[in-house]
Amino acid sequence: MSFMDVLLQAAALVFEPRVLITALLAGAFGMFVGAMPGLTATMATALLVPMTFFMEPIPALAAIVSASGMAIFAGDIPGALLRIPGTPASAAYVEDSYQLSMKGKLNLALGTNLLVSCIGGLFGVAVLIAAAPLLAEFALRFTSYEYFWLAALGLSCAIFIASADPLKAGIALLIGLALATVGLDPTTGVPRFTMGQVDLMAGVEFIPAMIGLFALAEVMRGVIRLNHATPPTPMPRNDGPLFRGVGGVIRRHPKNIARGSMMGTLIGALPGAGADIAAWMAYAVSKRFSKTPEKYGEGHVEGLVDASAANNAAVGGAWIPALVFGIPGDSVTAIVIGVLYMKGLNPGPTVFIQNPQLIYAVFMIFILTTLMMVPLGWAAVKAARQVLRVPSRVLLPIVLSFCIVGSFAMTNSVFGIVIMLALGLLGWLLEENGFPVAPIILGLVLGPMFERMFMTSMIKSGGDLGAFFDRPIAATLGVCVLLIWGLALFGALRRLRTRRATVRPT
Amino acid sequence: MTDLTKPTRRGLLQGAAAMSALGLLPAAAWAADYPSRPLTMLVPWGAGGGTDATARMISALLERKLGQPVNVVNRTGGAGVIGHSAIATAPADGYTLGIVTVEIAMMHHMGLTQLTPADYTPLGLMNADSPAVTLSADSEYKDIASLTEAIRASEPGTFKASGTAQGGIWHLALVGWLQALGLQPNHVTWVPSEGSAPAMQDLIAGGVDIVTVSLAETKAMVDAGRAVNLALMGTERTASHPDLPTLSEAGGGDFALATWRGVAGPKDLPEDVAVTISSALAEIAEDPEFVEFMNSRGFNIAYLDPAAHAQMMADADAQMAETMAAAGLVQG
Amino acid sequence: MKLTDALSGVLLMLLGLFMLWQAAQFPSFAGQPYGAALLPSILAGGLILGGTLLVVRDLLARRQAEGGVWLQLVPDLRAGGMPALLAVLANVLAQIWLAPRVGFIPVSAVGLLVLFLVLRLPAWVAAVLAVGTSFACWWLFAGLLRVPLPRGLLDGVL
Repeated sequence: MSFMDVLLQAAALVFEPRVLITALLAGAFGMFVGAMPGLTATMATALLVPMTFFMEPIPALAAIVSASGMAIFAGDIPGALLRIPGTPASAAYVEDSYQLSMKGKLNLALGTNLLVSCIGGLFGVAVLIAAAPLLAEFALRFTSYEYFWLAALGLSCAIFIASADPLKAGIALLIGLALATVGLDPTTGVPRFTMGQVDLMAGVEFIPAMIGLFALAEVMRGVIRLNHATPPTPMPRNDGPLFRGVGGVIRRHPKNIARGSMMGTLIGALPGAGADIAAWMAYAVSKRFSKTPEKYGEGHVEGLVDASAANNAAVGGAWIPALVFGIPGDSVTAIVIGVLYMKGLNPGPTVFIQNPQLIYAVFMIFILTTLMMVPLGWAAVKAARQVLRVPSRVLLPIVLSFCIVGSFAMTNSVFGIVIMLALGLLGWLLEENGFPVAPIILGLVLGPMFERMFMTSMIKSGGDLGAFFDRPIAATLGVCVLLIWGLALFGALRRLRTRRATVRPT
Repeated sequence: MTDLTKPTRRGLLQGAAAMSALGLLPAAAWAADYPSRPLTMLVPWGAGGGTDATARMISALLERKLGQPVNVVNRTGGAGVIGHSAIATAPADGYTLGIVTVEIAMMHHMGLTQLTPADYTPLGLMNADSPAVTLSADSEYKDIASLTEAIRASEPGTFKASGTAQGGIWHLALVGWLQALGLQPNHVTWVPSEGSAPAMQDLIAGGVDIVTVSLAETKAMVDAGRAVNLALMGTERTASHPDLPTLSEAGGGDFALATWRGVAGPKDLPEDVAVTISSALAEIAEDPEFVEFMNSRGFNIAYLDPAAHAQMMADADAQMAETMAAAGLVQG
Repeated sequence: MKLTDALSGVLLMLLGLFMLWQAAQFPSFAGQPYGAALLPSILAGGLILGGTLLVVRDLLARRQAEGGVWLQLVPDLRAGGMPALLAVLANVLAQIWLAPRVGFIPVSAVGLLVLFLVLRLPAWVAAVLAVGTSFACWWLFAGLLRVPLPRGLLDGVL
């Protein structure tokens, strides 16, 4: 069977009305789930699983690919409109997109998100098609040592993201890491800080925490201001065509798009690290190498470009180890692998030889749904924009309702609401006192991986710290981390000395 | 007219319905029209995993047999404690059931919960899988006998194994095996991992030497030629891997263990409800769709009726108590 | 609520001490030299250090310029935001305590009605919106997304 035959067969499988309609419906569903604060791409996929039981393999995979990709983009929408990130992957740049909207540039923010997400997504697929086996081999070299340094690198992002007050940002990161230690210890299975509560054994569930820190705190601030004598300035209407000026942004930042896409694909391809971590790291790298790092967090579009490219590229990247070795790249592909097995498409190198037309059909679906994201996203933004016409005193209670059910949905119990409330109060209190809340999210995302990989490595090496540098990739990552911290400390010391020097003469 | 000397289930139910209508029996205890509204199937593990997939398949088939929706609800975290607690504390009306896994026989020994297998109404065991001893394809050991020999001869802590968290079922598989070999439980260092996939990854990357997880979890890597199964820690060979010897056959020591998944309700489920569900489960275990699904995932169907299910859980509880005590995992 | 940095610093130090005290009680595990207490203890140390730095920095700043108030309610809160804030919190707490017994829809409808009224919406608009939002949430999440929201009193009806 020639390559051309394979492609034709694959096309015949994909370009069938039933498959296309399934992808469209699943895409719309994914858009909706992603745009709801607290509902994630994983949840969208999990909800589709029972339906895929009774579908043919191709429509089943089309539904999952379509829904998960759309959900990652859609998470940007409530972030820009309400300062409430829809998915953890959008939390990294929520401040920038919201500030852009406050300046009347909502369209620029979401238009950029949409088009760059599409480009990043396509890049991820291209790598998946061209280099899946190669990258999967690379990913397989990662043991706990490499993962430890990766997590450390991720945490180091806080240095770059750190805002006006590095001390307070650092404390916020520590609080996030501390919250991540609640629950059963990952290595020994001992309950920590659970105060005898069974529910706390599961730890501080990440999504309800995010809803609390961002959404509930925002609702609380909102209602307090509403009854005030001088109501806050409302967000501008932000009408007009969605993509105006986006072309210019893309033309001015080709390097950012390439960098974000590459980082996203690579991080996505590592099992256990997904779109969330990719977005944070891409944002940090973007700020570090930007000519105008001081504008980040004030409504600057550059970081948005890097991070949106990265989180959608990670979606494709996560399929690499899943298809080649049956190792899930993230929680979505964990579900996908189950579906693949069920459909007799056992993942592994042989799947490329035994069922090439099916694999190429999957690739085609990927490309198709990524392109479909643009019109669907356009429609979603247009619909969501109507939210701005709704007066705050109507909107805020409705948002509150969605926060409550969204948190409930993550744990399937009222305990999710408890977490949301606690973290909402904490987030509100912290922001009132000038502590940024974004580093808490970073700590919650990376904390468990950081600790688990450290403990695992220590157990393996019998406590020998040198083992952290024994393997080539680990050593490279480790040196990067040490350099980042070294340079940051050196810079801080030098700033301190120059300040002393300027202060003394007076 | 129903023959009263030989009561059929339908006859009993009709009788009960009549009596309940006359107010002679509480309606809740004799819910003749059960199920009259949607059911909930609690799963103590996350969406996408093996237990979740099995639960969703069983629920889909149960839905067809009962004529009511069966919603799968994941209650995850706390190494299974939270989901198992939710099943045990649900109202015993038959509208909340759950998947009870091997962890119920382990968690209370670790002091994580008070719950034991006796806190449930077993309705039918659906699946049991034994772990295999799996090595990287690059490993110098090609059969279980030479590996066993090398482990015996090695300094404690030379070999490293992984597969799940500390005190998890696959850790106990290793501990039990080492005990059967007459070695200390920590002769091979256990490297905790967050499930089997990271452990397999670490095995291939060269971070650990041995992985003791189920065959289904090693399948992708074995098919890819990256890992080899040396022996099965079971009492007999499985249909899916007829060429894989058991430990005792291949001279790797005498030890067997299995992880299992069954459907259960809270304690003291009404008799007729239990009968309705367990007879449906017995049919599902032989349903071609279920069989095909389980085979495709590499899961071994091991159906046991409620009585045998209860007995098996009690036996497993005793075995776990012994193994865990040996591993120093028993708390409080 | 606005605290001065020195006060936040003291609170953080207390949090750190609490974590240290708890971590000291985590059991160590057989055959493992580093246990569950390692990272929490390091983090606790970090919090204590960070808190100390905050205190020192704030006290130094106070010595240079005359320091502000030690603790103050947010100005907006005094200006009439309090009832609204309480209504929001009451909604969340009711969903935690009442909803499992009474059910999601009634708790949500009544809670939202109160909140809308506190936010000075006309009564009939508030009523329509409260009931509408509650049913919409139920339909979307319990119906479409199969989230097991508490049915409560409406168990037989829905």
